[in-house]
Amino acid sequence: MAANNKNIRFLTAPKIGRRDKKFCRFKKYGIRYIDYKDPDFLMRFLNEQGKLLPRRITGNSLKYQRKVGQAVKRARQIGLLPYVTDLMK
Amino acid sequence: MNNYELIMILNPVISEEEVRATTGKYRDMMTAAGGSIVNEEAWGMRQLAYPIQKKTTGIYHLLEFTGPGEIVDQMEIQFKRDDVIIRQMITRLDKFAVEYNEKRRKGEIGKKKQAFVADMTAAAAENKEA
Repeated sequence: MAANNKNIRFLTAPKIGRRDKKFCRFKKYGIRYIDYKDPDFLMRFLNEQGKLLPRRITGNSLKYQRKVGQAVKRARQIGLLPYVTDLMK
Repeated sequence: MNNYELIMILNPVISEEEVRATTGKYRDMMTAAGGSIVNEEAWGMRQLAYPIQKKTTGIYHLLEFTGPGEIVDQMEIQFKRDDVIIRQMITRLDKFAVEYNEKRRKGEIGKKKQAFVADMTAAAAENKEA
């Protein structure tokens, strides 16, 4: 087994060091309004417990992160998204 | 004149006639107070994400309208008296929201979303690889 480990080959070269730069998808795609009536879309910005993901992870700009937050809160109020949950995805 | 969007959740046990009566009531209220209806959508019965007043389903109804701000105050008083409505929300729409809703009505949003979804799944696959 030890001999095998030395000969591991990757189909694609593993990415080391350089990471792709994150971007704000709302700016990139020109989305200017975030709809609270679309829970499937908002789900992308939530973790499994239904909590809002930080900008650090999603890469949203501050302007649109605020709008995402607003939309998620509205969706929660009208029962389209849960306030607290487990295993949402 | 402002643009508003009202979304209400009705009690799931009421009959179809009662649904029509309640939505009709609010529609009349809007027009009587000098507003006009832009769009109306009946989403029908839907599962709630969490129980509201011990109910797990609700009948969703969406009304988009324009009118003076006083309508909202009048309607909010009515909502409190109305026990058929279990939850409601009025949001003011900015110009981007109005634009979005127009596109949504024409069915243009879905197409963009599909492209977006494809892009997102590709990005997710890339993340997994990395």
